[in-house]
Amino acid sequence: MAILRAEGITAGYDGPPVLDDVAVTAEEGKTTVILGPNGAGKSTLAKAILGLLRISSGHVHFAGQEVTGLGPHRLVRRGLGYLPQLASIFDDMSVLENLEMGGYTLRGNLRQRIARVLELFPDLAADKRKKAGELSGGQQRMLALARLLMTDPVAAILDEPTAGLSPLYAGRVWEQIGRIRGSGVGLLVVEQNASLAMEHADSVYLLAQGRNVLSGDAAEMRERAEVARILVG
Amino acid sequence: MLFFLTDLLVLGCINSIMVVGLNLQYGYSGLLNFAFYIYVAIGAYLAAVTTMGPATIPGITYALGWTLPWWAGLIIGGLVAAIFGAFVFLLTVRRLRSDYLAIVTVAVAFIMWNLIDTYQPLFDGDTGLFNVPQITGNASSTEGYSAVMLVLSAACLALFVWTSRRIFRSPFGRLLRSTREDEEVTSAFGRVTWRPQIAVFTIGSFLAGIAGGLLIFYISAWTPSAFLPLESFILLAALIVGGSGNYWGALLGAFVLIEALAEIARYVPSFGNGANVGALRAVVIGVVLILMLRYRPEGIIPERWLKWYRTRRPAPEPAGASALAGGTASDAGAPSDAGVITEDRLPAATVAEVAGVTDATAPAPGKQADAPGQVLVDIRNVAYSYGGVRAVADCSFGISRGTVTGLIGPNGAGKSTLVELLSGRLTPQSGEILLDGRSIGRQRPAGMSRLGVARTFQTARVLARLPVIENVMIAAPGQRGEGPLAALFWQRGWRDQEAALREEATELLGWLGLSSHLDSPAGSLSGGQRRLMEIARALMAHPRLLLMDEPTAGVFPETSRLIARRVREIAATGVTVLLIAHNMAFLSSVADDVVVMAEGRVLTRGPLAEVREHKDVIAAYLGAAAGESRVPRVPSAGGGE
Amino acid sequence: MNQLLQAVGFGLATASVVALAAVAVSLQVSVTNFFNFAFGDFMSLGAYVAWTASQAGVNFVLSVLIGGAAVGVLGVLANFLVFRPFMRRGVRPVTLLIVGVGLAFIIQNALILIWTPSPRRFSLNLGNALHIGPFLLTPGDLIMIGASAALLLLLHLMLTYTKFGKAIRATSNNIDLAQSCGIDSDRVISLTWFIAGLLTALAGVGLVLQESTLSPTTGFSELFIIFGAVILGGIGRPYGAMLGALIVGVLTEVAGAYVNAAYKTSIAFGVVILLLLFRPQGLIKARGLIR
Repeated sequence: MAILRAEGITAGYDGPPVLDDVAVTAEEGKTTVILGPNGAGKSTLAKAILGLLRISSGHVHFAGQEVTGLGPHRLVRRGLGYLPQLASIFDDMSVLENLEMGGYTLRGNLRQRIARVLELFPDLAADKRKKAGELSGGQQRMLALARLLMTDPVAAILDEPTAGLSPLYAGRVWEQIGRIRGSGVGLLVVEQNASLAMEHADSVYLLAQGRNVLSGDAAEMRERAEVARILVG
Repeated sequence: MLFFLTDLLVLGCINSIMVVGLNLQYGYSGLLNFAFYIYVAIGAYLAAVTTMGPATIPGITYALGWTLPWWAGLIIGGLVAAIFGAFVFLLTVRRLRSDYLAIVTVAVAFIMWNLIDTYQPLFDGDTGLFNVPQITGNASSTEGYSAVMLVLSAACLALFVWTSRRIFRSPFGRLLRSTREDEEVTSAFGRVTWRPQIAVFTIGSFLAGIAGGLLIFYISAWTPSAFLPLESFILLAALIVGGSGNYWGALLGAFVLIEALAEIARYVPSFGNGANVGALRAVVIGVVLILMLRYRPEGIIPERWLKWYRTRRPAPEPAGASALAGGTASDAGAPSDAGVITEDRLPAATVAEVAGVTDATAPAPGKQADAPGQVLVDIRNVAYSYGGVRAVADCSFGISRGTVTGLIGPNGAGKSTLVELLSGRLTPQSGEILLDGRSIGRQRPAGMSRLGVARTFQTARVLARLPVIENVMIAAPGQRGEGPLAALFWQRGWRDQEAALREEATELLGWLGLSSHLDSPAGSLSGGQRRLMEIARALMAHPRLLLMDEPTAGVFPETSRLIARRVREIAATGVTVLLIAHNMAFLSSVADDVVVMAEGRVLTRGPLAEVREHKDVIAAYLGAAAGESRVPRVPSAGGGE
Repeated sequence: MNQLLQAVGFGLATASVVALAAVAVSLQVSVTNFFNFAFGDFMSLGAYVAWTASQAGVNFVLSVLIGGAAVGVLGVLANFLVFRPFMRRGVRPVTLLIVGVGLAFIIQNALILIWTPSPRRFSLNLGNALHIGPFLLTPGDLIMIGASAALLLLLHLMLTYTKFGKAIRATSNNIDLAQSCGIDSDRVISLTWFIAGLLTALAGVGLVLQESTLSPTTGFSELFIIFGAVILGGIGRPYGAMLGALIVGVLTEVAGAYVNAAYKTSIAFGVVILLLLFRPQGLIKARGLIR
């Protein structure tokens, strides 16, 4: 079932549009990946959906309701989480506090939820009092994912979650993404590393120069030769 | 009544001199001297103690106590203030964020004031100085003296306005304003930016000192005011409200905000108490200032209204696209960033410089024509890491003269970092870069610019408040008149140069379709137009090597085609071009060959058509992990994928 | 030696006042990233309001709280009406500095208009100076030191253990991510201004009581000492500001004991200059506000 749907997204001001009538849909419990060459507009699309960028036309629907332009602060309260590409943790706060911040909008005692989340991230549990800025790059990314989980999202947008990571951690990130997906969350993942993303995706959208070019089941997209060509540019 | 008017005008002129001086520092150069008034005070004190003669009244002490003629005292006051200003500026030559610079200037001023206020032997401490002799030697009546002072201060004001104007219209003034808008771009075109800044700081302080001298000769007394910061603030407010960056704004601000307001405040009923008048005035000034900054930050008279900002020669009438040779007509109806192209080839001046052919028969020394085929740039085993992440790792390739080489690769491959290394913004941590056989790895952008390297930026950087034509003119190397003395006293040396530069810039901009924007502030250009302007600017520097970082990102396809044509024409004159691009259509029409980078290294090289089908290249773009971690984007590079 | 220790004692008393204001400034800077020059005049205003209330017969402690609340509200209004519209447009830091100065002069001169420029006497006679160990302090000083320490402890507890305190720290660390956690950063910033204003007003009262006189320029003159403390401790780090206040307070008093006391403030200014030139990140590493 479609949990997040964006249609007709057009953005860009003083030149050719950066996004031109783009549409993507993410389903509950599935991983939808957005790929594209440099300059395709992938990150821009993610930001547009989250209301971080002004769009000139288009609509975003989440859980049946119109949420166009609301902004991450309001979206997270409705259940749409966000993992930004850069600066994705509170580096001055401890691991535990990062998780507490993730659960900011939740009512009641967070301790149980934190314990459950930490079960999925045993490395973080060992370092829970450490300052987040002192963790390694890969661990910081895992913390960012854990923080996202704390918000108890129904769906989430992840902007290049494996950027800058070693193959080992990139694999771990996708493992966690798989687990999150398994618990029923609908995921929309923008990715640069196409081959790894396609291995774990359920469906794939290929953007180029701000437009939808190809889309379909990951299985079939993996077979199509044009995908490689389009990604090179 | 006449006396009242004269008095008003004298004070108006003196205040105007102060604001004009502050305008040189803040308006032209963007240096916020928050403690400007201390320089006025210094000028006043020095003028007094060099003309008053020794202290005769018991209990009053001060330094010096000479009896020089008034004009000597006045000039000494100005000079000492100027030297002090230079000293304070040198203290802060170290890079400080602009608001911290302001804090430091206030702190220094406060210390000076504390010293003056406390240390009796200097200027009689908090009692101050009295009975400073008038310039006419106490011979005239009050009205008469007023008239004399009016003539003197008006004359000084006229002189300083002339100075301001001359500076503004000179290459020195342009350099100051360019530094104010974007210091990094200015130094990327070969300028040392702190030198003109210290010059203007000194001159501004000199004006402050003279104003102080005039003031103390007029009112014959001076006490260290507890409201020193207030006076500086009022001057600054006057400048900002009037319009910073131009002398008319300074005059308007001084006369309207300071004078008129003071007079009006006097007439407000029920505020008979003197202190209240001053307080009310300060409140009004504060409110007006904040409102102006919010709604009209350029002031009542913005810099761009100056007649100087309109090109002397009217923009050439476009003859109609079809009349031009070389197929430069754009598709009727297709959207484009460029306007009508008014020149169909590079200006003669640019080509001559670039190719090293001058009027003389022999090429100028150091500017041998770059014969095609030889290697101009040799990159050898260069590496660079940002905080533990390797952006460029053991990268090696050469670039031949007169060619256009494309640099492509997936995100994070190190392309932009490499361009930063070539332009001098970054220094290689290992390996070396040779330009024409000479190692240049350690050069900073200013040095690279002098070696003939010019660049465009990933996000176009313009000098927003300057007109487009001046944005381009600033890039020309070796301009005369960029020092204060040459600007003021040797106009003959640079007047013709200015005309020639203007001509060349106009042609370059016309060649890129921006001829109807010559006088527009560069900040009003669209993204695509800015990219075209950056190309014009880079060419104005007569480079041998042109580095372009995504020159067509965000431009209309029509403009992309224009840029491709232009780049080929540039290369045909002997310029070597290295460009980063992602758009394959653009690359195929512009690049002779293409270097593919991935994970900091060169993966392969060859004609674009071949390289695109190369299986390792495809794998790299697909992100098939090769055992090395990917890298974050170059900091301060623009957004985008 | 005795003189030195006594100076240290005075320094502690000074530091206790400076610390409150410095922490306030640091808090505000940490969430908004610019120096507000009007804080000195916030201090003066707080003192004037408290003085007026106590002159009207209101209990002293209550007067002080009224002063604190008044400045807290002023802080929120200043952010909402003055600073935030500028920050929304994205202006250069210099512009915000000038705006802050403009606001400072408006407040300072409004004080003159309302309360006249004549200095007022505002003191609590709590007894003479006592010898506490090597220090020579009045009961008033001791109360100030105690009150300041208590307030700072409360602040620390709030920042470390309450949800809102953590929201402030999160917002100052990474405002965008804080929003993604559902934290309303506008509200956090407003409340931070309130707290900062409150602390500043209390510092203002403390300052005035130490000097026994109240005049419209009182706060503004202290501004640089406060900035010195903030910079020394690392801009945007409230805990650093406490340390910075201690150092600056003691340093100026000690230096003032050996040099003409009238130069005390100059020494503080000198410290600020040297800091900004040679170690703008403070003694403790600060975050990203340096070029």
